[in-house]
Amino acid sequence: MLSAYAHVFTDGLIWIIIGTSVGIFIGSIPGLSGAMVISLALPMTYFMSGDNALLLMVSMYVGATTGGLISATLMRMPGTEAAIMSTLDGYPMAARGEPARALGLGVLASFVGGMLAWLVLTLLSPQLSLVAVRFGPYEIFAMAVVALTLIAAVSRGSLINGLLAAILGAIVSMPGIDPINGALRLTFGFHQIDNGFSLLPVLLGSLVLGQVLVDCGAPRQATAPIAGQARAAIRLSDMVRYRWTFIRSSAIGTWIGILPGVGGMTASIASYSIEKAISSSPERFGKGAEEGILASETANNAGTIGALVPLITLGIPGSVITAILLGAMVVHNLNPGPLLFVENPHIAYIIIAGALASNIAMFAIMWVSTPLLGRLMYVDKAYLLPPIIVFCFLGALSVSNRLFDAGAMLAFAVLGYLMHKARIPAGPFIIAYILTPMAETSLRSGLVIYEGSFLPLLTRPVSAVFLAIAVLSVVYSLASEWRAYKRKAG
Amino acid sequence: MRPSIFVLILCAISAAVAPARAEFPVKPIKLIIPFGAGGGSDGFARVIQAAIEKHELLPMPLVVVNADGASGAVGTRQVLAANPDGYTILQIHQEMFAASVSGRVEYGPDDLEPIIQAARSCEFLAVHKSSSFADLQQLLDYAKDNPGKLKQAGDIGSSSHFLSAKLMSLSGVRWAIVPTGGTSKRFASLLGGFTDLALMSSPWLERGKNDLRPLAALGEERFPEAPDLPTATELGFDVSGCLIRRYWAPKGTPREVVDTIADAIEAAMTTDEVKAHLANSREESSVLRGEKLKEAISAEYQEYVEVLPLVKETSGK
Repeated sequence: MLSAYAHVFTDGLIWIIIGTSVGIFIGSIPGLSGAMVISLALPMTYFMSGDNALLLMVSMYVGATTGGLISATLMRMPGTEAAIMSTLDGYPMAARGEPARALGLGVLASFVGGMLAWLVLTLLSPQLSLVAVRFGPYEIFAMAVVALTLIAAVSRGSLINGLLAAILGAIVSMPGIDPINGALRLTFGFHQIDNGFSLLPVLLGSLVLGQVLVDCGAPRQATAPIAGQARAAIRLSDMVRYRWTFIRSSAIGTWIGILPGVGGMTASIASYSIEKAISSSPERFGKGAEEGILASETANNAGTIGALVPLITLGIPGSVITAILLGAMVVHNLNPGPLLFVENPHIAYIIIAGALASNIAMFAIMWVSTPLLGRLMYVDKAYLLPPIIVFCFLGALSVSNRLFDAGAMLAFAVLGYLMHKARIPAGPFIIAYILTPMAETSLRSGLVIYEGSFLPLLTRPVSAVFLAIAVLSVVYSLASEWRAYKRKAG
Repeated sequence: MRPSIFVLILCAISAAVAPARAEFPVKPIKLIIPFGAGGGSDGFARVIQAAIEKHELLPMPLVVVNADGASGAVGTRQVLAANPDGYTILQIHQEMFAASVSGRVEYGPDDLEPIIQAARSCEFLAVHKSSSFADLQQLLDYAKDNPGKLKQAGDIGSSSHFLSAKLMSLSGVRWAIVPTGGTSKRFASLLGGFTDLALMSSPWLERGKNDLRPLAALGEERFPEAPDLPTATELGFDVSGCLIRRYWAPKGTPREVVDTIADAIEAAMTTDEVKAHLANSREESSVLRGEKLKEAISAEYQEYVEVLPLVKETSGK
């Protein structure tokens, strides 16, 4: 273990710094994703030692999750899907003249979330991963239902528009290969949509290019920076002030990260919504609330590191990127799997130490660059939008090496623009697009396991509790909507 | 103006004439992997690419392009649509047969030209260590006595589903397939106690030795790393389950071009780099070319056709 840490902080350090910087850069550009750069890096690492290859890739992974917050905050364009929730409060705060402060909060949150999740990774990995595999299809289904009902919380004020967006998102997620009977559905004979609509075209179209269209129509004028805010962008006193937000969001993020197949995006949705639901002043959310930024960014970085838990303890990758990391371990003959800690503990500790080092490197790099990045807010959009459009096309083409995805992205850009004009929020759209397949697959897998019975949903304690929360959440939002309506009417 | 038009015409003529005269290949060959980066197909392709480049087995490099989607159909369609000149080729395993037989796609192996079969990765049938099934017969007896109770973690409609269906047809019993995903997800499902059995890939013999109890090897021979594990054939079920990595070109690709690529890949299979990769990923070399390859493909395809009704029967509604 000590030799692993010693390697990481000496010879391995250069790879940590390269990986983290590249990761942050790629993550900050909508269109370029962490998965893309890590899969490009994989063949290059064939010529490196296994230790250094893993360090490079782990630090790219950590950096990319953080980088997503930069464009989310400054341009309301999430650089990675995990940063979608950070647009909700990060951008309004930046637009009112505090871009460096908004970034600083995000950076601090990423750091704290990463560190707390790292502690869990170090201390509790084997135990937690065994709990995670007991989390079966019905538990995942119930959790996805809770997250879907939280859409209502995110779209408060216009519940109908939020639900409309969610229904649209669910519909977009439907076409493709049916997960349970293997047949094609809703493709209408067009083989181009045999695989459905992939995440990148949908995300880049509706959230990024849609925003570009909005910007072209009505150039946004950010309020001039508030004097002095750049210097105090990252305040360590915030760590004390918002300690409970940090602890809650890290716990939620880490746990969701550990569940195989549930990513940082879901972690930040859950964490943000819960933070808003228990806040004493929920009306500030969506208008630049500190806790909004913190909840989203703490949870997505915690989820990023949490996803390493099943990877190193069981050899189960929970996301696209961790699957590539697993592939890298096979290539370097590191024999990943449940016996990694027993037979090759050095590699397990290299990954753990790499996560720590890259989280620290990320914080250092962002600490230095935040005041500079904050100025990007005031760069003429005419210089920023064209490269973003180019990168979006690159991203769409990278999905399956075909033009169809670029066309789909453009269609979703128009949809995103129209939704903006009709005041239909994009958040619930993308959330439903991501969560609906998760809910469907797990429910239908559960039905096979329990021989067609829904009863275990209520008799298994975890799913029962989650479903109760879902019901409460719906009742609560309907009630508050009703109260708001009465107030307006009366 | 005039000289530039002249140059253009000259270029056009030389471009049209040159490939016919020059030795194949005169430009890089695009190798389409219809699955994502980091997986088994991708890892194998990249090692073959590196070996061909390092040992100069072809004058031009292979370029690996990942075109993931619809269980391999997205990338396969790109090769079907490409010019049959050998500059776009495909590496895919039996997932193509599964898609074709079940009618998800309108093409089949006959619409492509097989170049060479390179390697295979054999599977084994496993239960969790705590399971009460000590051998395959006990498991099948249980399934016979308790219809609908036995559950297998797998992928609906994938080649592993066809393999399970073959075993069902030979043993005359049925069980349910729970869609979980790839081998690591199946492992999680066994560990969580949600399913009873799964088909696992060979690396899991070693990886899962503390948690899994293998019941049958599905290769033609026993695994060298598990000499005590009987094959399904030895146990009386004539089924073999290996993912076979094969290379394909668009239909109508000239014979010499197919041979040139096949020679290079066959030579790459004997390099130390590829041998080391096969050892690391617990795969084995299994080179087959020409008529023998075509016979193997059509026999295998026929098996897929035969078990299709059982695959349909055990797919969800």
